[in-house]
Amino acid sequence: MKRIGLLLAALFALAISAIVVESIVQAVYPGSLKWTAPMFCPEDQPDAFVVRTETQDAEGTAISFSLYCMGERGDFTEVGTWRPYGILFLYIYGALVGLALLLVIRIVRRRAKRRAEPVL
Amino acid sequence: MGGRSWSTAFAAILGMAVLGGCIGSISDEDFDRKVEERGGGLSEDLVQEAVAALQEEFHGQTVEFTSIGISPARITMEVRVAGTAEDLDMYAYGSSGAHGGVGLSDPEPVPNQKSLEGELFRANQVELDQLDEMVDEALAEADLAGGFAEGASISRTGTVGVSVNVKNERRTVYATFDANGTFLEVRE
Repeated sequence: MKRIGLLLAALFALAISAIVVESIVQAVYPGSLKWTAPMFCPEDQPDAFVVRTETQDAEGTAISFSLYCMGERGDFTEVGTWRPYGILFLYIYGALVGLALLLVIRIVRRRAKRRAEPVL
Repeated sequence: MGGRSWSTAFAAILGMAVLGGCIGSISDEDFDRKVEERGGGLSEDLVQEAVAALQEEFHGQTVEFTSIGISPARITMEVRVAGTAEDLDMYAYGSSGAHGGVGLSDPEPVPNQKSLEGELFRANQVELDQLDEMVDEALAEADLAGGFAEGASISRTGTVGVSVNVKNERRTVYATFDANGTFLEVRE
């Protein structure tokens, strides 16, 4: 029971980390939305663009990013922001869980090895 | 990694975020230019999707149009309200929220007091699957340097026809076609 609780807590912590990592990746490289294009762009509109829109209001300038898919005639479909963010989150979450698993396996192996060594 | 290198890395990321902030993205103006470079972004697929969506909305009843307007990522359709003589509704269909909306819109009443006699047409009276070819031909016939197809419209004055407006930074010309997609003329 306690172990399941620990596991859930670890998965939750990794999810929070994934959100933090995603925010940093987004801030540094908004073009990362393009990485999700293969999931969203139709076959006849394969070229992905991340379009930056600046809107002015009383509180200043707001910048938003949106993923678009374009065909060779210039025809386009807007995928938007939130679905690519969701997929990007899953990519990063998967990578972090994978890393964490590797780390756990390494620790467990090291412990097993230490136990196997004869104590002098 | 010591405390110092952590803070250096953090400062680097923060700096990139502040300075960069748009790496890998293009502005909406540049995006529009990209669309123009590729010919204007008019799509017969979108027109066909729009008409199909409207036909579904009408549950198989005949849809009678007075006009179909074609813009990048947005189709507008003026349609006679079923059961009336001259009431018109406007529907829009699009593939981008930032360019007017996604999917089929709700109908908007269009002010109209004149008879629709001779103006109504059905979608199967026009070769909708020839629209891309018509756009290509319009661009070739207009022969404007840096020209792109800004929009097109289908309407009926006497016979059903298609007009494609080709634009560059200096002027706009209109290439007209009959309902089968045969080129007629270029007008200023």
